[in-house]
Amino acid sequence: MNRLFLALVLPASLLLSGCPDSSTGIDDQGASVSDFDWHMPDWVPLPVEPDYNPITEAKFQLGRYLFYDTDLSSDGSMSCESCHQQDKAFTDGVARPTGVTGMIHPRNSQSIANAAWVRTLTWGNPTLTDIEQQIVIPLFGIDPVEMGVNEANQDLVLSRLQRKTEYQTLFAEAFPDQSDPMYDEQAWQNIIHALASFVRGMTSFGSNYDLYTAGQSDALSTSAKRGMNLFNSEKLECFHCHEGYTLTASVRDRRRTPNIPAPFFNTGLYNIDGISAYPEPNTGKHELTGKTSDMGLFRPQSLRNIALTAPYNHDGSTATLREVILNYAAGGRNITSGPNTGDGRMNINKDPFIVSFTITEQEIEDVVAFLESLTDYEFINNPRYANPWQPPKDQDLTP
Amino acid sequence: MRATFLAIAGISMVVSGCGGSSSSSSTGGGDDINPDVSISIPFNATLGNDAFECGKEYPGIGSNGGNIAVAHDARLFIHNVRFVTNDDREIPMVLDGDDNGEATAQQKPGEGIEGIALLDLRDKGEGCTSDDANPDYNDSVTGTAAIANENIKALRFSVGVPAKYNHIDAQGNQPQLDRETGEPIAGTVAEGPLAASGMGAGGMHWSWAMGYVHARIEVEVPSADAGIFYVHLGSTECDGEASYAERVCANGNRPEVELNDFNPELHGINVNLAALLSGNDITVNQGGPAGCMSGLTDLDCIGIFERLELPFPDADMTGDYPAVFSTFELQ
Repeated sequence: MNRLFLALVLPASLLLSGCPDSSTGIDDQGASVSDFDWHMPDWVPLPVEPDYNPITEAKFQLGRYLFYDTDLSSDGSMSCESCHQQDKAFTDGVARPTGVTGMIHPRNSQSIANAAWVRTLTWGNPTLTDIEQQIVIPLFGIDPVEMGVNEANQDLVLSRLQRKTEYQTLFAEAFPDQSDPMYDEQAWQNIIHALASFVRGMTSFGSNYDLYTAGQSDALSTSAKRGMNLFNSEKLECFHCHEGYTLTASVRDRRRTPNIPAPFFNTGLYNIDGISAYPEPNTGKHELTGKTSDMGLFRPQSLRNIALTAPYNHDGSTATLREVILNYAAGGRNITSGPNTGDGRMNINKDPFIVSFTITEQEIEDVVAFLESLTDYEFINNPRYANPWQPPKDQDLTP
Repeated sequence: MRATFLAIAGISMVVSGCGGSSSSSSTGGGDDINPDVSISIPFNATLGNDAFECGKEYPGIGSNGGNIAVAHDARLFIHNVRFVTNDDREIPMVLDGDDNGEATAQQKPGEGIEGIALLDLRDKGEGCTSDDANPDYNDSVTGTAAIANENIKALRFSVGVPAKYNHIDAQGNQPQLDRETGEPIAGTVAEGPLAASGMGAGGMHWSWAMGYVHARIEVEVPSADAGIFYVHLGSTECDGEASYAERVCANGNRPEVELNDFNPELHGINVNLAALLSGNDITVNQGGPAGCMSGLTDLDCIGIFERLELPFPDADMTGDYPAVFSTFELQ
C-alpha cells in the first residue's frame, strides 16, 4: 500500500522540481492559501485546511494563548493544557482525565502533534474530520463535561477573556476583517478557529528516525535499527496500520483526498462475555454507527512521540510499550477476571493483521528502542508551542 | 408527502388558469377559494397540570409513585407542520421569516422540511441556566396556511431537525461540499435556529455525533447522584462524512405528532414532561449517561422512546402511554 502510494506521488514531485519557485517540492495543487510557516521539513506534504479557516500566524498565536488559558474553562481550573502537556507530547500521563466537574473522561488523552494530517480526530469517532468540529466538544460537551462551558456561564467565560489586555491585540490581528472579533456574536467561533489554527500548526517531524530517513545513518542505535526491521516485518505486521510519514494509516494531506473510508481497526483488546463486546461506552466506531461489525474498532494512532504518551490504548488500559507489544504478540488480550473478562484474541471483529508472534525479550527491547527513536525532543521543547503566559524555561531538556 | 405537495400545487395552477388573481407570494398554495390564513400556534410545557417553571419542584415525577423533579430544560425543534382535512388531504403551514422573509433565530421560513422552528419553553423569568430572563424564549410557531374554507380535523408535525439539515455545520459558515466537484452544496449553510443553536454553548447541537439535538428535556433530580435526568433526542446509527453531505442515520428519532380535533383558533399544543418521564424511575441510571441521550444500549431510553412512539430495542410499541403532546384550550 505504502509503496504503491509513493509510486503515484513521485512523478508529480519530479514534475514540480522543474519549477524554480517550488518551495515544498511536492504537489500542493497551488493550494497554499497563506504564507504560514509550518516549521517542518520540505519533504512533508502540506496538510488539508478548511476554506473557512485558513491558517495564519496571527490565528496560531491567538490560539496558543487560548490553549494555555485556564479562564477558558467554567471555573478557571482547567485549560486545554490540563490534558495536553507539551513535555508529554501533549498528552497527560493518566489513563483517563478528569473534567472541571469531576467527571472522568471515558478515554485517554491523545497527542495532538500532527493533528492536521489525520483523517479523523479522536479515538473512535468517524464523524469528526475537522479540528474546528472537534474543539467544540471539550469546550461545551456535557457527556462528559471537560472544560464545562455552557449556556449559563459562556458569557462569564468570555468576559474573563475580554478583560485581558493581551487578547485585545491578538484578536484584532487574528481577525483583521472583523470590527469587533472578541465582542460580537462571532466571538466563540473566532475562539474555536484560533484554537484549531494552533492545533493544526503543531508539527512534529524532528525525531532521530527522521534524521535517519534523511540519510544520517548513525541517528538510530543498532538496537533501534533492529527494532525498525522487526516493526516493518511480516512477522510483527506493525507497519500496515502505522505507516508513512505520519506513522498512521489514518492520513490525508493536500495532495489527495483518499476515497477509501477512514481506517478503524479492532486489535482484540476485549471480548466481554464472548460476544466480542467492548466495555461501554468505549465501543469505538460502533458508538456512532451502531453496527456490530464496528464494535471495538479504533483509529490507528500515530506512533510519533509514542514513548512519551503512556499509558496506552483508547482507555489507557495498557501501561507500557512493552505490554502493548506483548498484547500484539499474543494476538490480542485475554482478560481472565473482573467485569471485562473475555478473550480478546477471539474477538470476531479483530483485524486479520493482529496475528500472534513469538518475540524474545531482546526483540521487545529493540522494538521499544525503535519506538523511542520516534520521539521529537525539538517538538516538546519548542518555545513556539509552549505556554505564552509564562516566561520561557531556561533549562534545555534535550538529552 | 411529495404527492400531497404536487396535488396542492396542481390545484393552485388550475385556479390561476381560470383567471384567479391570487396575489399571494406564498408557496403554500393560497388562492381565491382557500386564501392563506395567518396562524400562530402557541406551545407550552407542563409537568402534569402544572406549568413548567425553571427551578420549581414537582412531586410525583416518574414511575412507581415518582420523585421530586426540578424543571431544567424544555426545548425542541419542529418541522413539517401541516393541517389534515376531513377528506385526508394535508395542507402545509408555511412558516414565516422576518419582514424580509429571512430566517429569524426562532424560525427558518418555508413549508415541509424547509420550515423549521426552535421552541424554547424555558420560562422567561428564569432562563433555567442563569438568573437572567431567557432571551431565546419562543413559545409559538407562526405562518400561513391555505385553510380558510377547509374542514380541518387534525394537525400534524414532526419533532426534530430534518435529515437534510441534520448534519450541516452548526458553527455557521461552512457549506457542505460535493465530493466529486468540491463545490458547495446550495442551501447547506446553517441559518436561523440551526445557526443560533450551534454558536457557543447553544445546547441544541450534538457535536460528538455531528447532528442536532432534536429535543432537549431535562429535570434535576435532587435525590439522585447524577443530579440531572437528561432526555436528549438525536439521530443514531449514523455513518458517512457530514462535510460531504454523505451522513445517513438508520434511526432518525424524529417523533411524528398528530393531534386530532385541532382548531388553530381555539387550541395550543402542550408538551407534558411528566408524561414523557412516566415510565422511568428518574432517580436510577440504568446505563450510559444519566437519563436518555438516545444511545441504543441505554435502558433509560426504553420508556422515553415508547412515549414518543419511536422504535427502540425492547420497547413495547403497543402500550397505552400518557400523551406527551396534546392540545390545550386557549384562554
